[in-house]
Amino acid sequence: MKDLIHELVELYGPSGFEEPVRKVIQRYVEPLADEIRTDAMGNLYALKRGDGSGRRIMLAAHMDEIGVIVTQVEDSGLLRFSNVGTIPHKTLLGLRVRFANDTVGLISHDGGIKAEIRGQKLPDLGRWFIDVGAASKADLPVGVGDVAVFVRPFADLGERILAGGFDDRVGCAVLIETMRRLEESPHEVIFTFTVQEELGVRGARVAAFDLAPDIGLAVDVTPTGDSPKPDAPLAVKLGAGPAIKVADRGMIAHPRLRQALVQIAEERDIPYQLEVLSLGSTDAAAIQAARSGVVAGAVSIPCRYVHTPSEMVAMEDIENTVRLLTAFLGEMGIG
Amino acid sequence: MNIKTTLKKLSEADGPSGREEAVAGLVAELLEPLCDDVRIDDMSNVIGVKRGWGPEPRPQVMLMAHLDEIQMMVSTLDGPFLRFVQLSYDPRVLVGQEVTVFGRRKLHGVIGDRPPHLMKAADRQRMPKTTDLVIDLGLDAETVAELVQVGDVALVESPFSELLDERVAGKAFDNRLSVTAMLATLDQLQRLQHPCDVLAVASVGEEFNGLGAKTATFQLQPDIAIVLDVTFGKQPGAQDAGSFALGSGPVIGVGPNLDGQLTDKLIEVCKDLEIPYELEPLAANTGTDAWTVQVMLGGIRTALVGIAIRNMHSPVEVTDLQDVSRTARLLSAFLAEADQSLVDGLAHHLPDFEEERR
Amino acid sequence: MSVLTQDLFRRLTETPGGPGDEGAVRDLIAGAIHPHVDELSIDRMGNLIALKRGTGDSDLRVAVAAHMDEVVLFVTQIDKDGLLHVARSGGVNARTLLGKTVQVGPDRLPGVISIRPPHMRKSADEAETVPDIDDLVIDIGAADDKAAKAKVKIGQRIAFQTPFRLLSVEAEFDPEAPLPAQGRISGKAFDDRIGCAALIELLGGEAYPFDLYGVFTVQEEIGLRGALAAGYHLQPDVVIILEGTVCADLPGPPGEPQYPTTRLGAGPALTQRDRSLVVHPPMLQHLLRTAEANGIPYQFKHPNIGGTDGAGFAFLRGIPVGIVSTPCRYIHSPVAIADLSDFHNVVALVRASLPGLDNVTGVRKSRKD
Repeated sequence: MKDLIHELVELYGPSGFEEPVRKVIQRYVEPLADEIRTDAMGNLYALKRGDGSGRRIMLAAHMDEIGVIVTQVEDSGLLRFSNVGTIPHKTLLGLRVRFANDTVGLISHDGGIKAEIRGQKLPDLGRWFIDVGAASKADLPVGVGDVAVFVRPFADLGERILAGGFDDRVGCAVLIETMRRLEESPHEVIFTFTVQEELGVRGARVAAFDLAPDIGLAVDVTPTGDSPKPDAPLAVKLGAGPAIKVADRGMIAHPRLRQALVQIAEERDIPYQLEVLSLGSTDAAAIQAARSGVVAGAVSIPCRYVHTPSEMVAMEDIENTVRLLTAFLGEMGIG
Repeated sequence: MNIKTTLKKLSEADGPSGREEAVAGLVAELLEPLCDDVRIDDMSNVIGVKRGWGPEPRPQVMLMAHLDEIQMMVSTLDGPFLRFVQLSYDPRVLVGQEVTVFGRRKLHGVIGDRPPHLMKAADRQRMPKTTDLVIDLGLDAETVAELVQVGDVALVESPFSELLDERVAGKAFDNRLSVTAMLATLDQLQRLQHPCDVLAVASVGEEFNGLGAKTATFQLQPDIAIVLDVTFGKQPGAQDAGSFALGSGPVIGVGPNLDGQLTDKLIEVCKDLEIPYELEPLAANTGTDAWTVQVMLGGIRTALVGIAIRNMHSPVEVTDLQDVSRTARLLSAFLAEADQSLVDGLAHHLPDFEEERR
Repeated sequence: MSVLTQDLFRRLTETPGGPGDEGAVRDLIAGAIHPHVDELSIDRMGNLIALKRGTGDSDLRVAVAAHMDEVVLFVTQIDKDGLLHVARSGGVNARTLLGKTVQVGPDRLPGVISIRPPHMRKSADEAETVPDIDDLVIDIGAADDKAAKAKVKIGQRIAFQTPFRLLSVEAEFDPEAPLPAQGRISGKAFDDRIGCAALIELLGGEAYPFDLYGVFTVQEEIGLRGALAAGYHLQPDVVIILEGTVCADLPGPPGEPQYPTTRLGAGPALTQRDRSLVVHPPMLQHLLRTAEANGIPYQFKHPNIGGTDGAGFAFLRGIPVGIVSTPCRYIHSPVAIADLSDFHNVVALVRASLPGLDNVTGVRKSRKD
């Protein structure tokens, strides 16, 4: 499991350019699925047929990650950029980025490091640049429109692991592992690896309309409230089990689905926690509103420092998320 | 149908966004005698169908009033106290407010403030932040942990009160008041023939993400939609433009979110029946389900009829019940006329190029 | 047997009674205590004075006092739209007013405190600003000034409309039963109807060795004014004040330490000194020794916060005063919470302390003779 996460998390896959991630995931899910296909947006669908007695369940994890896009090239060879998704403004300084062609660069801003030391307000994004070590415009290996992701090597801390992009490669890994472990299910389950979640749950919207599932469940990460003096009270803690979503900014989970997940966690002695998040959302928001409405919810993997180059998750939370999903899919449950 | 008692029942029912089951059940019960067919869908939208006379296919006219109300949600337990996030209340009304917490059982709570005796002078001029407030259930930490979970809903506790004349006060008039008007419309339709099928929808999630407007409209595929929602009553501090005296009749929305011809038709009905009315200019987003409905399924001709309330999004919304019966008269009279030719007449036409050439 | 039924307590808290307008509360109290006392009178200020004759063993004149008035709003103007403009009478916490239900005047006309919808805010700052009292209006549903003036007069009081509740998981409200021994209660005007309730209990039992004057005072919230008058004409040797007092044992902003003043459920709060008075030290010692001897829990209220009728009574002759309070969270707002065990312990402590007052140093000396 750790190896799978390690592999997925270091892949290049900013929103709209998920192909490298999709290729690797496809390799894993092909032997496990009854059917596999992609669509025009690049969503990947891996279907496992049920015994015909259950429901049609869409399980979604997004393949894309946040990044930056080059908007302007300066004569000096420095690159101006804009954001792809919500990027961590506070931690940009000194951050390394990697382009699709493996070009690596460094992020800094006008005025150098002094402004930062004086505790001044962070400059607007337009005053930041990427330096890829080019002496001039002519030397540049990348140009306007090229997209880069943050360089965030995987670190194994034992029970906890550190990397960027756990949002949501760890969800992808959970889906793959669940697919492996799921032997029998009454349900037809479509393991859906979505695109462009970070741009406003765009892939999931298309996928849910296409699939018209009875039930939709997103698997994503969620921020934790276990740092000192959090701005907003968040009950979710790292290592305390998968977080069964009650609500976030975009969706209130269907109470029956939430209850079914809680019940199965309690029956199987799987630790869980409940999540109320007053910002952000997941693919479930798009799935819920598809067509005449889908009974939707989400299971979140607690993750510290979300959307920074170093996110942290706990292996036991991941294992318990897989257990919860496997148990949920294996039974009639919500029926 | 008694408008006052119906509104009291609906106002005192509990139906936060995402947990509308209880109030949906109540609305379904009230719709039952007025419709041919009533159902509650998976999202908890309540859909009542009252079929028109004449052969099929009949025009499908959707009335939509949202069912849900604004809420607080428990975010963490802090000893015996509950911390919470709040969705859309004005945070200032929450200080010193009684609330109901929907834990494993219904619990009564208080959001209190520190006594002024202990405040610095500057603090007496500043409202506390919502994140600094807690709900006090008057129970010990152990009992609280047994009865309350993260994600449990809290609503303001505010009984319906009858003020002078036809005016009343209470919570969730936004938008149970419009649901009441929708029921009153169907009640009047019992005595009228109408050529269209009336699809009465009490929609979920308007105060949150517009879930009901999307999903119910997709199911019903109406030809025309009339969205009912509350609007701003005149009161001290309210802008003059865009607020309406209580008791001045239905408030008909005008703007790009709304179909001009359908809106004109409603105005015409008011004029014909001498129903007092007001026009509400809405330059862009109306902030109602109409915004969602209009662009569904390739476009739906949508109108908006409002009823003025004071103190919107507070526990003490105030309205004048005369406006509810007037709204019902307007809508039932419109529905009695809404036949296929009316629907067809709303179509946009290209200019007659031949005519111009001549 | 307890004089104080749940229903009496409910009516005590729910009845409106602003400073100078305590009539309804006074009538209610007089009706409840008259079978248990020997004389009842109302002085020129409106204080209700109940005399419970003693056994004759002591000639001490002892007063126990609680104030009947509560903080309210006050009608100052009726505008052309039929809305009521108000001033504060007593220190209502202005942060707690918006969007609350109220009762206006002696007919207890329902009304609401208006708040402009958040959609119409002129700036984000508005959400964090306490509205000026001059900008508050009360809506009674009147269509215009004529309709409003037919029902409301300038100068009428506006009290909160808050039902009394038991916050226990088990207990249901039972009008005829006494208050439960445990659990918490919520309602308005606990400052100081909870003191009035304790005094009613104290007047209900057996006779004391001396004549006991139960004094239900007026106008405490605007300057201890009833007590000033009562102290002058009653000339007690010693006074015990029963209060519902400040309690802020709440978590504040996450992670910031708080200053609770008193704690709910920790027993009667004894005052050493507040902003108006230093409690006679032998009196304080008598109270806490009595508590210890009887196994009654007690706490000290943090000093220098608030003031009580004690100062009013002590003003002229400096007689010994003791102050025993029931902690109440959220006083001076629409709804407070108190702990019933604290209330019962206040009654028990004062009842146990009364017989020994004769021996408290200084009490006798305060006599003029």
